[in-house]
Amino acid sequence: MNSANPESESDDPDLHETDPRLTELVAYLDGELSAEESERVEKELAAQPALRRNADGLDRTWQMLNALEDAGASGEFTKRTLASIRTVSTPEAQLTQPSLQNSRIQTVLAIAVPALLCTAVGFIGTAIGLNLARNAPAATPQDRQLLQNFDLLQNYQNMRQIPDAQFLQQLANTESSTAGTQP
Amino acid sequence: MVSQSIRNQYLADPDVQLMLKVSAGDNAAFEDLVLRYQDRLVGFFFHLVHDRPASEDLAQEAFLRIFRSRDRYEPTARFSTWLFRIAHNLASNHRRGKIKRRELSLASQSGSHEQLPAETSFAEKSGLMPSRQLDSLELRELVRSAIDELSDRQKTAVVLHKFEDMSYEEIGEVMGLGTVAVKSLLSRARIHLKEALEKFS
Repeated sequence: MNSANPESESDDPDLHETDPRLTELVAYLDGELSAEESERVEKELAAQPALRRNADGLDRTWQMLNALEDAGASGEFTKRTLASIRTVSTPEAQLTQPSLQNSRIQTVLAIAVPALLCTAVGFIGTAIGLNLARNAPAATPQDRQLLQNFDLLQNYQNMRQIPDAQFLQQLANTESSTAGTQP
Repeated sequence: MVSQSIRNQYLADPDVQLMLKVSAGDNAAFEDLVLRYQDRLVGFFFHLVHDRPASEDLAQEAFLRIFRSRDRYEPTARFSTWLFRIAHNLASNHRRGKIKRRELSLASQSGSHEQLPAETSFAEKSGLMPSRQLDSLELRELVRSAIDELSDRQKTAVVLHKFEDMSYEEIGEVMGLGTVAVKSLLSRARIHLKEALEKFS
Protein backbone atom coordinates (compact mmCIF):
# COMPACT_ATOMS: atom_id res chain seq x y z
CA MET A 1 0.00 0.00 0.00
CA ASN A 2 2.91 2.29 0.70
CA SER A 3 3.55 4.10 -2.54
CA ALA A 4 7.00 5.33 -1.55
CA ASN A 5 8.98 6.83 -4.38
CA PRO A 6 12.61 5.73 -3.92
CA GLU A 7 13.86 7.99 -6.70
CA SER A 8 12.55 11.23 -5.21
CA GLU A 9 13.58 10.07 -1.72
CA SER A 10 17.19 9.60 -2.84
CA ASP A 11 17.21 13.01 -4.53
CA ASP A 12 15.90 15.06 -1.62
CA PRO A 13 18.41 15.67 1.21
CA ASP A 14 15.41 16.61 3.37
CA LEU A 15 14.53 12.91 3.53
CA HIS A 16 17.93 11.72 4.80
CA GLU A 17 18.70 11.35 8.47
CA THR A 18 21.16 13.96 9.75
CA ASP A 19 21.63 13.25 13.42
CA PRO A 20 20.42 9.74 14.37
CA ARG A 21 20.25 10.68 18.07
CA LEU A 22 18.02 13.69 17.38
CA THR A 23 15.85 11.69 14.99
CA GLU A 24 15.42 9.05 17.66
CA LEU A 25 14.64 11.69 20.30
CA VAL A 26 11.92 13.24 18.09
CA ALA A 27 10.50 9.80 17.33
CA TYR A 28 10.45 9.13 21.09
CA LEU A 29 8.53 12.38 21.72
CA ASP A 30 6.12 11.42 18.93
CA GLY A 31 5.52 8.00 20.51
CA GLU A 32 6.91 6.20 17.46
CA LEU A 33 9.49 4.02 19.19
CA SER A 34 9.07 0.47 20.41
CA ALA A 35 8.93 -0.19 24.14
CA GLU A 36 12.55 -1.32 24.11
CA GLU A 37 13.78 1.74 22.20
CA SER A 38 11.76 4.07 24.43
CA GLU A 39 13.31 2.56 27.53
CA ARG A 40 16.80 3.14 26.17
CA VAL A 41 16.03 6.80 25.33
CA GLU A 42 14.54 7.35 28.81
CA LYS A 43 17.73 6.05 30.40
CA GLU A 44 19.77 8.46 28.28
CA LEU A 45 17.49 11.35 29.20
CA ALA A 46 17.85 10.56 32.89
CA ALA A 47 21.64 10.47 32.55
CA GLN A 48 22.18 13.51 30.28
CA PRO A 49 20.83 16.94 31.34
CA ALA A 50 21.73 18.52 27.94
CA LEU A 51 19.69 15.90 26.09
CA ARG A 52 16.85 16.48 28.57
CA ARG A 53 16.91 20.25 27.88
CA ASN A 54 16.91 19.55 24.17
CA ALA A 55 13.90 17.25 24.52
CA ASP A 56 12.13 19.84 26.66
CA GLY A 57 12.77 22.57 24.03
CA LEU A 58 11.49 20.34 21.24
CA ASP A 59 8.36 19.57 23.21
CA ARG A 60 7.58 23.19 24.23
CA THR A 61 8.01 24.57 20.71
CA TRP A 62 5.84 21.74 19.36
CA GLN A 63 3.09 22.78 21.79
CA MET A 64 3.35 26.36 20.48
CA LEU A 65 1.79 25.12 17.24
CA ASN A 66 -1.51 24.96 19.14
CA ALA A 67 -1.61 28.75 18.79
CA LEU A 68 -2.35 28.39 15.08
CA GLU A 69 -5.83 29.35 13.97
CA ASP A 70 -8.13 26.40 13.56
CA ALA A 71 -10.02 26.94 10.31
CA GLY A 72 -13.08 24.77 9.82
CA ALA A 73 -15.41 24.76 6.85
CA SER A 74 -17.94 27.57 6.57
CA GLY A 75 -21.67 26.85 6.25
CA GLU A 76 -21.45 28.13 2.71
CA PHE A 77 -18.77 25.53 1.96
CA THR A 78 -21.09 22.65 2.86
CA LYS A 79 -23.89 24.02 0.66
CA ARG A 80 -21.55 24.77 -2.22
CA THR A 81 -19.83 21.38 -2.11
CA LEU A 82 -23.06 19.40 -1.89
CA ALA A 83 -24.53 21.45 -4.74
CA SER A 84 -21.47 20.81 -6.91
CA ILE A 85 -21.73 17.08 -6.20
CA ARG A 86 -25.37 17.14 -7.29
CA THR A 87 -24.30 18.93 -10.46
CA VAL A 88 -21.64 16.30 -11.12
CA SER A 89 -24.14 13.48 -10.63
CA THR A 90 -26.81 15.19 -12.81
CA PRO A 91 -25.11 14.61 -16.19
CA GLU A 92 -25.67 10.89 -15.65
CA ALA A 93 -29.39 11.54 -15.51
CA GLN A 94 -29.05 13.74 -18.55
CA LEU A 95 -27.29 10.95 -20.38
CA THR A 96 -30.53 8.91 -20.35
CA GLN A 97 -32.59 11.92 -21.52
CA PRO A 98 -30.93 12.23 -24.95
CA SER A 99 -31.55 8.53 -25.56
CA LEU A 100 -35.28 9.16 -25.07
CA GLN A 101 -35.11 12.10 -27.45
CA ASN A 102 -33.14 9.95 -29.88
CA SER A 103 -35.83 7.28 -29.90
CA ARG A 104 -38.46 9.94 -30.68
CA ILE A 105 -36.33 11.28 -33.50
CA GLN A 106 -35.86 7.74 -34.82
CA THR A 107 -39.66 7.20 -34.92
CA VAL A 108 -40.18 10.42 -36.89
CA LEU A 109 -37.36 9.49 -39.23
CA ALA A 110 -38.83 6.01 -39.76
CA ILE A 111 -41.96 7.66 -41.19
CA ALA A 112 -40.41 10.63 -42.92
CA VAL A 113 -37.56 8.86 -44.73
CA PRO A 114 -39.73 6.42 -46.77
CA ALA A 115 -42.14 9.27 -47.61
CA LEU A 116 -39.26 11.44 -48.77
CA LEU A 117 -37.81 8.53 -50.76
CA CYS A 118 -41.16 7.95 -52.54
CA THR A 119 -41.42 11.66 -53.35
CA ALA A 120 -37.88 11.68 -54.65
CA VAL A 121 -38.43 8.56 -56.79
CA GLY A 122 -41.62 10.11 -58.24
CA PHE A 123 -39.85 13.34 -58.96
CA ILE A 124 -36.94 11.59 -60.62
CA GLY A 125 -39.31 9.38 -62.68
CA THR A 126 -41.24 12.41 -63.93
CA ALA A 127 -38.02 14.19 -64.79
CA ILE A 128 -36.75 11.17 -66.73
CA GLY A 129 -40.10 10.84 -68.58
CA LEU A 130 -40.12 14.50 -69.55
CA ASN A 131 -36.55 14.27 -70.66
CA LEU A 132 -37.26 11.22 -72.85
CA ALA A 133 -40.28 12.97 -74.41
CA ARG A 134 -38.21 16.05 -75.08
CA ASN A 135 -35.47 14.00 -76.72
CA ALA A 136 -37.88 11.87 -78.86
CA PRO A 137 -37.05 11.95 -82.66
CA ALA A 138 -39.07 14.49 -84.77
CA ALA A 139 -41.87 13.12 -87.14
CA THR A 140 -40.74 12.56 -90.80
CA PRO A 141 -42.96 13.57 -93.88
CA GLN A 142 -43.70 9.91 -94.33
CA ASP A 143 -45.03 9.70 -90.75
CA ARG A 144 -47.19 12.76 -91.32
CA GLN A 145 -48.69 11.26 -94.47
CA LEU A 146 -49.46 8.03 -92.66
CA LEU A 147 -51.23 9.97 -89.88
CA GLN A 148 -53.21 11.94 -92.45
CA ASN A 149 -54.45 8.71 -94.11
CA PHE A 150 -54.96 6.91 -90.79
CA ASP A 151 -58.81 6.58 -91.30
CA LEU A 152 -58.33 5.26 -94.80
CA LEU A 153 -55.77 2.71 -93.63
CA GLN A 154 -58.03 1.55 -90.82
CA ASN A 155 -60.84 0.78 -93.42
CA TYR A 156 -58.44 -0.58 -96.02
CA GLN A 157 -60.26 -3.93 -96.40
CA ASN A 158 -63.63 -2.22 -97.06
CA MET A 159 -62.09 0.26 -99.48
CA ARG A 160 -60.69 -2.56 -101.60
CA GLN A 161 -64.33 -3.56 -102.52
CA ILE A 162 -64.99 -0.18 -104.23
CA PRO A 163 -64.31 -0.52 -108.00
CA ASP A 164 -63.83 3.21 -108.89
CA ALA A 165 -64.59 6.83 -107.93
CA GLN A 166 -67.82 6.92 -109.98
CA PHE A 167 -69.32 4.24 -107.75
CA LEU A 168 -68.60 6.37 -104.75
CA GLN A 169 -70.33 9.35 -106.42
CA GLN A 170 -73.46 7.30 -107.12
CA LEU A 171 -73.42 6.02 -103.53
CA ALA A 172 -73.27 9.55 -102.17
CA ASN A 173 -76.19 10.68 -104.36
CA THR A 174 -78.31 7.71 -103.27
CA GLU A 175 -77.63 8.46 -99.58
CA SER A 176 -78.68 12.11 -99.99
CA SER A 177 -81.96 11.21 -101.82
CA THR A 178 -82.78 8.59 -99.20
CA ALA A 179 -82.18 11.13 -96.48
CA GLY A 180 -84.68 13.54 -98.21
CA THR A 181 -87.54 10.95 -98.17
CA GLN A 182 -87.10 10.09 -94.51
CA PRO A 183 -89.88 11.42 -92.14
CA MET B 1 -7.25 -5.79 -9.08
CA VAL B 2 -7.05 -5.55 -5.31
CA SER B 3 -6.54 -8.81 -3.44
CA GLN B 4 -9.31 -9.91 -1.08
CA SER B 5 -7.00 -9.82 1.96
CA ILE B 6 -6.08 -6.15 1.36
CA ARG B 7 -9.75 -5.35 0.77
CA ASN B 8 -10.84 -7.07 3.98
CA GLN B 9 -8.18 -5.19 5.96
CA TYR B 10 -9.96 -1.89 5.36
CA LEU B 11 -13.59 -3.01 5.32
CA ALA B 12 -13.84 -2.42 9.08
CA ASP B 13 -13.31 1.32 8.49
CA PRO B 14 -16.83 2.86 8.67
CA ASP B 15 -15.81 5.55 6.18
CA VAL B 16 -14.72 2.87 3.72
CA GLN B 17 -18.20 1.37 4.15
CA LEU B 18 -19.74 4.77 3.38
CA MET B 19 -17.56 5.12 0.30
CA LEU B 20 -18.62 1.65 -0.90
CA LYS B 21 -22.22 2.84 -0.59
CA VAL B 22 -21.34 5.92 -2.65
CA SER B 23 -19.75 3.61 -5.20
CA ALA B 24 -23.04 1.70 -5.36
CA GLY B 25 -24.91 4.93 -6.17
CA ASP B 26 -25.88 6.22 -2.70
CA ASN B 27 -25.22 9.98 -2.93
CA ALA B 28 -26.56 10.56 0.60
CA ALA B 29 -23.61 8.52 1.91
CA PHE B 30 -21.27 10.95 0.22
CA GLU B 31 -22.96 13.86 1.97
CA ASP B 32 -22.18 12.08 5.27
CA LEU B 33 -18.52 11.84 4.26
CA VAL B 34 -18.43 15.54 3.35
CA LEU B 35 -19.90 16.48 6.73
CA ARG B 36 -17.45 14.19 8.55
CA TYR B 37 -14.32 15.43 6.82
CA GLN B 38 -14.95 18.99 5.65
CA ASP B 39 -13.50 20.71 8.74
CA ARG B 40 -10.38 18.53 8.77
CA LEU B 41 -9.81 18.99 5.06
CA VAL B 42 -10.32 22.76 5.03
CA GLY B 43 -8.09 22.97 8.13
CA PHE B 44 -5.36 20.92 6.43
CA PHE B 45 -5.32 23.23 3.42
CA PHE B 46 -5.56 26.35 5.57
CA HIS B 47 -2.44 25.37 7.56
CA LEU B 48 -0.59 24.96 4.28
CA VAL B 49 -1.82 27.92 2.21
CA HIS B 50 -3.10 30.39 4.88
CA ASP B 51 -5.93 31.49 2.63
CA ARG B 52 -9.48 30.57 3.56
CA PRO B 53 -11.16 30.90 0.13
CA ALA B 54 -8.29 28.97 -1.51
CA SER B 55 -8.50 26.31 1.23
CA GLU B 56 -12.22 25.85 0.67
CA ASP B 57 -11.75 25.68 -3.11
CA LEU B 58 -9.05 23.03 -2.70
CA ALA B 59 -11.16 21.04 -0.22
CA GLN B 60 -14.12 21.16 -2.59
CA GLU B 61 -11.92 19.96 -5.44
CA ALA B 62 -10.69 17.06 -3.27
CA PHE B 63 -14.28 15.99 -2.53
CA LEU B 64 -15.22 16.31 -6.19
CA ARG B 65 -12.26 14.18 -7.27
CA ILE B 66 -13.31 11.49 -4.83
CA PHE B 67 -16.91 11.63 -6.01
CA ARG B 68 -15.92 11.48 -9.67
CA SER B 69 -13.81 8.37 -9.06
CA ARG B 70 -16.54 6.58 -7.08
CA ASP B 71 -17.19 4.01 -9.82
CA ARG B 72 -13.56 2.84 -9.71
CA TYR B 73 -13.28 2.86 -5.92
CA GLU B 74 -11.37 -0.01 -4.32
CA PRO B 75 -10.65 0.02 -0.57
CA THR B 76 -6.85 -0.13 -0.68
CA ALA B 77 -6.34 2.14 2.34
CA ARG B 78 -8.26 3.78 5.15
CA PHE B 79 -10.63 6.37 3.71
CA SER B 80 -8.85 9.22 5.53
CA THR B 81 -5.49 8.13 4.07
CA TRP B 82 -6.93 8.14 0.56
CA LEU B 83 -8.61 11.52 1.09
CA PHE B 84 -5.47 13.18 2.46
CA ARG B 85 -3.35 11.67 -0.31
CA ILE B 86 -5.57 13.44 -2.83
CA ALA B 87 -5.45 16.60 -0.69
CA HIS B 88 -1.63 16.41 -0.51
CA ASN B 89 -1.40 16.16 -4.32
CA LEU B 90 -3.78 19.10 -4.74
CA ALA B 91 -1.79 21.20 -2.27
CA SER B 92 1.47 20.37 -4.08
CA ASN B 93 -0.04 21.39 -7.43
CA HIS B 94 -1.40 24.59 -5.86
CA ARG B 95 2.03 25.51 -4.47
CA ARG B 96 3.74 24.76 -7.79
CA GLY B 97 1.21 27.00 -9.57
CA LYS B 98 1.79 29.74 -7.02
CA ILE B 99 5.57 29.57 -7.42
CA LYS B 100 5.21 29.70 -11.21
CA ARG B 101 2.94 32.76 -10.99
CA ARG B 102 5.40 34.46 -8.62
CA GLU B 103 8.31 33.72 -10.98
CA LEU B 104 6.39 35.13 -13.93
CA SER B 105 5.48 38.21 -11.91
CA LEU B 106 9.10 38.76 -10.85
CA ALA B 107 10.30 38.19 -14.42
CA SER B 108 7.92 40.86 -15.68
CA GLN B 109 9.12 43.25 -12.98
CA SER B 110 12.86 42.65 -13.47
CA GLY B 111 14.66 45.43 -15.24
CA SER B 112 12.29 48.14 -14.12
CA HIS B 113 12.54 47.52 -10.38
CA GLU B 114 15.27 46.90 -7.90
CA GLN B 115 15.69 43.36 -6.65
CA LEU B 116 13.35 42.55 -3.77
CA PRO B 117 14.99 41.96 -0.40
CA ALA B 118 15.03 38.42 0.93
CA GLU B 119 11.98 37.48 2.98
CA THR B 120 12.41 38.01 6.67
CA SER B 121 10.72 36.19 9.50
CA PHE B 122 7.73 37.61 11.31
CA ALA B 123 9.83 38.22 14.42
CA GLU B 124 12.38 40.24 12.44
CA LYS B 125 9.73 42.15 10.52
CA SER B 126 7.75 43.09 13.63
CA GLY B 127 10.82 43.62 15.81
CA LEU B 128 9.51 41.29 18.50
CA MET B 129 11.66 41.07 21.60
CA PRO B 130 12.02 37.50 22.86
CA SER B 131 11.69 38.61 26.49
CA ARG B 132 8.33 40.33 25.91
CA GLN B 133 5.05 38.49 26.62
CA LEU B 134 3.35 37.84 23.29
CA ASP B 135 -0.38 38.24 22.75
CA SER B 136 -2.19 35.39 21.03
CA LEU B 137 -2.25 37.10 17.63
CA GLU B 138 1.48 37.78 17.71
CA LEU B 139 2.18 34.22 18.83
CA ARG B 140 0.04 32.90 16.00
CA GLU B 141 1.89 34.98 13.43
CA LEU B 142 5.21 33.95 14.89
CA VAL B 143 4.37 30.24 14.69
CA ARG B 144 2.94 30.63 11.21
CA SER B 145 6.08 32.40 10.07
CA ALA B 146 8.27 29.62 11.53
CA ILE B 147 6.18 26.96 9.78
CA ASP B 148 6.39 28.83 6.49
CA GLU B 149 10.17 28.60 6.66
CA LEU B 150 9.92 24.79 6.54
CA SER B 151 10.19 22.97 3.23
CA ASP B 152 6.86 21.97 1.67
CA ARG B 153 7.39 18.31 2.59
CA GLN B 154 8.34 19.16 6.17
CA LYS B 155 5.30 21.43 6.47
CA THR B 156 2.91 18.76 5.18
CA ALA B 157 4.38 16.16 7.52
CA VAL B 158 4.07 18.57 10.47
CA VAL B 159 0.44 19.41 9.69
CA LEU B 160 -0.52 15.75 9.25
CA HIS B 161 1.22 14.73 12.45
CA LYS B 162 0.26 17.66 14.65
CA PHE B 163 -3.29 18.37 13.48
CA GLU B 164 -4.39 15.09 11.92
CA ASP B 165 -2.71 12.97 14.57
CA MET B 166 -1.26 10.66 11.92
CA SER B 167 1.46 8.14 12.65
CA TYR B 168 4.71 8.14 10.66
CA GLU B 169 3.41 5.19 8.66
CA GLU B 170 0.15 6.94 7.74
CA ILE B 171 2.04 10.12 6.80
CA GLY B 172 4.25 7.95 4.59
CA GLU B 173 1.16 6.49 2.88
CA VAL B 174 -0.30 9.95 2.27
CA MET B 175 2.94 11.47 0.99
CA GLY B 176 4.23 8.41 -0.86
CA LEU B 177 7.32 8.10 1.36
CA GLY B 178 8.93 5.44 3.51
CA THR B 179 8.80 5.65 7.31
CA VAL B 180 12.53 6.51 7.55
CA ALA B 181 12.01 9.49 5.24
CA VAL B 182 9.06 10.71 7.33
CA LYS B 183 11.14 10.35 10.50
CA SER B 184 13.84 12.48 8.92
CA LEU B 185 11.36 15.12 7.70
CA LEU B 186 9.77 15.48 11.10
CA SER B 187 13.02 15.59 13.04
CA ARG B 188 14.41 18.31 10.74
CA ALA B 189 11.14 20.24 11.06
CA ARG B 190 11.09 19.93 14.86
CA ILE B 191 14.68 21.11 15.12
CA HIS B 192 13.95 24.11 12.90
CA LEU B 193 10.84 25.02 14.89
CA LYS B 194 12.79 24.76 18.13
CA GLU B 195 15.46 27.11 16.79
CA ALA B 196 12.87 29.61 15.54
CA LEU B 197 10.49 29.55 18.50
CA GLU B 198 12.40 28.51 21.61
CA LYS B 199 13.38 32.04 22.58
CA PHE B 200 9.67 33.00 22.63
CA SER B 201 8.46 29.92 24.49
